Amino acid sequence: MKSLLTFMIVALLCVTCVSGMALAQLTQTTWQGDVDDDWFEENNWTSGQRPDEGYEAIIPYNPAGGNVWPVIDDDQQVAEAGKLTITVSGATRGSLTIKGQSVLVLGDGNAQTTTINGDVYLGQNGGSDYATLKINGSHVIQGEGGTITMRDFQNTKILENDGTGDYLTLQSSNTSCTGWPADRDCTVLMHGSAEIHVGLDNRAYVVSDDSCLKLKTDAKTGTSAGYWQVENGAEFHVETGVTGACPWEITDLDGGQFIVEDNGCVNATGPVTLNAGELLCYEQFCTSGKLILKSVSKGGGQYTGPRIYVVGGKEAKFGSAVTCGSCP
Amino acid sequence: MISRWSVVACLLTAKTLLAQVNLPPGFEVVEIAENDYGSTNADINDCGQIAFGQRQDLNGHIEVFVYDNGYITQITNGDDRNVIPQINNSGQMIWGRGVHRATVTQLIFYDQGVETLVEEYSNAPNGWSINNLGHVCWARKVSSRCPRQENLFLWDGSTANQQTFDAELSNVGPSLNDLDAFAWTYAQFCDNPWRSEVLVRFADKVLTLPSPGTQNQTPELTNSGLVVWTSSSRLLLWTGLESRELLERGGRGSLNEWPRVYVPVFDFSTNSWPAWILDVRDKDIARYLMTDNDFWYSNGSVNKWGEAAADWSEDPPNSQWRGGVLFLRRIRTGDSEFDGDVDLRDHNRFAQVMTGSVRKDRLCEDRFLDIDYDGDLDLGDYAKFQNAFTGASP
Repeated sequence: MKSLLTFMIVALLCVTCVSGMALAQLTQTTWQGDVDDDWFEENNWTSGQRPDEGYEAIIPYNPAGGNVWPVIDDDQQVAEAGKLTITVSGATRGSLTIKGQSVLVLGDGNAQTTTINGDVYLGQNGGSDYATLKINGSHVIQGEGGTITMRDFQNTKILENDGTGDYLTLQSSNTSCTGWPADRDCTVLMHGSAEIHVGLDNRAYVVSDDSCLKLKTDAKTGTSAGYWQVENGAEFHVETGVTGACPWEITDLDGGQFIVEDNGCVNATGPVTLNAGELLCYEQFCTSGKLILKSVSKGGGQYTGPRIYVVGGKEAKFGSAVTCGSCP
Repeated sequence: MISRWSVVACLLTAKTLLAQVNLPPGFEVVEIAENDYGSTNADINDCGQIAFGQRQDLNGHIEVFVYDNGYITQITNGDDRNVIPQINNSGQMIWGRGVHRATVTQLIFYDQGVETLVEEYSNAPNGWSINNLGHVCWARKVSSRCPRQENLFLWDGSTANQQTFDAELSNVGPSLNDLDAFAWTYAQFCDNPWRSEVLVRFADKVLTLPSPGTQNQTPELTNSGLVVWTSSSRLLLWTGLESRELLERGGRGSLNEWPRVYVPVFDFSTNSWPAWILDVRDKDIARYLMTDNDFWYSNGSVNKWGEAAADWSEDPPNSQWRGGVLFLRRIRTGDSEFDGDVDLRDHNRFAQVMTGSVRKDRLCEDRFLDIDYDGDLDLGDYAKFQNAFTGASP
């Protein structure tokens, strides 16, 4: 009887244990920056060890060692973290910089949530200072005023890790925030120039504002809380299938382009607002959302002239009455 | 089928959930050096002196201090970043310095008020260690990018000699014992995932310690050749014959010859790093939890008397860096040799080492007779000693 009871207790504990493993609990470690700004320097972390996929790497707005935030700068060492938490206090923001052809694998293969209220810099302009972010598992990046700034569109990429369930969701961490979802300070802003290959559910902001942003490879979607936007005369290339309710917007008067490439396709429900620039379609762009073409004064008697250009045989359709063909 | 590792995990989980403070018999916990910004490290020698780097603000200004039997002395006084001090039994120290709060690029050896620059390089050394001979071992990082060309150097007080010569792999995180043997992490950081072994170089051989994990790091070596280290989150002990798992998940450990191990262990229920002491015996392990708070304990060490020191911060994820040093010390009963009685042997020793009522630095082993913890061995201590006297076999 006693041995049976012992067995039952051990079994109960093991159920608890296995359940815990399914939740993929992560050990926390916090950036101190006592030695230098090297992510790989173990004494910069409270754990005395560099983070791996078993860790939640926390980057505070005020590292104990001063205003020294981590930099991943090694093209051959792969940095890992099960998830990230980057904090902010007022104008003081925690940050992580990934450059020098470096790679960060984010996630542990399970469902994890990263919180970015500060800043992530993915690559830098000029030279070969690009970077790669790999998503390992179903990963949510959430935040309230957080930014992911991407530089070097030809090389900086957001990729799936090994293709098994790798998926990225962008969203606000506080939907009660006044101004959400339109206010960027209430959510996460992913912007700049890069290629986004991993499957993406955009419930925040994806903005091309620095030469060229490309949606590639795995299909993308989003909700009405997410935005696809162009600013600063940049290009936003669609090279994969995109669905969902995100508004499509060229927000300023500097022009710029949404370009649906011949390997792209849009079958969406969000509205399209062009304050300037161009929607250029080499493949289908179809949405049941309404189209707003604005002619806005630029001063001096000049007005913007947004336009839609569709190559022969392709379609750009808007409005609730349209029937969109599905994307391949 | 439940694997052996799973069962261990279950039992440890239950243990953690049920944990309460239970100090090792004969020991007490005291807090020292608390401030708003915390400490970078705590290292205790056999004299009970504790070296620690204390942040003066959250701006990289970190100074080195030494606690000695109730008194704290500031060792450095400038505007530099002085981190991860270690102290040997002679009171000699080594620490890393970033001049004017810049990145750490120097290794400073300290002996009786005199600083010696042991190493200066453009990159921060990747770990350092001092032994009781005053010898220093460290890892020089030639490049912060692969191949990092990290190799070990040994300084004998006058000359530094390179100990490893790898152009590709990394040799980092050395722990040096009093025989100038050292354990270190031998790593291929440039692979994905990175992998590493813990090696020990003795006078006549080099050992690669067997382990179940592929990421082995943070070794600490004793004079008898015991090693504690982490192997893909497991805490392992090299006994001289085999590798023994102490914990399925553990932080960076430190040990003495008993072996008694200090280790912080992450608690998933409170998201904190409580401080544990493990007394490793042939067939089991006695576990002692030193704290009952939700603070983050990190680097620590253990001396030959079983005393331990560890630094802590209140809540780093939420930027609460207030912290200090936890000191697990022996309760002073008058039993100077820890044989369970206060007898004539203790009395004779007391008579030989009395100082009078003037504080004396570095009482070392005589500190155990400073029963009132006031830094001297005087009549006040003697009065307490008389009251505690049991004679042999109490």
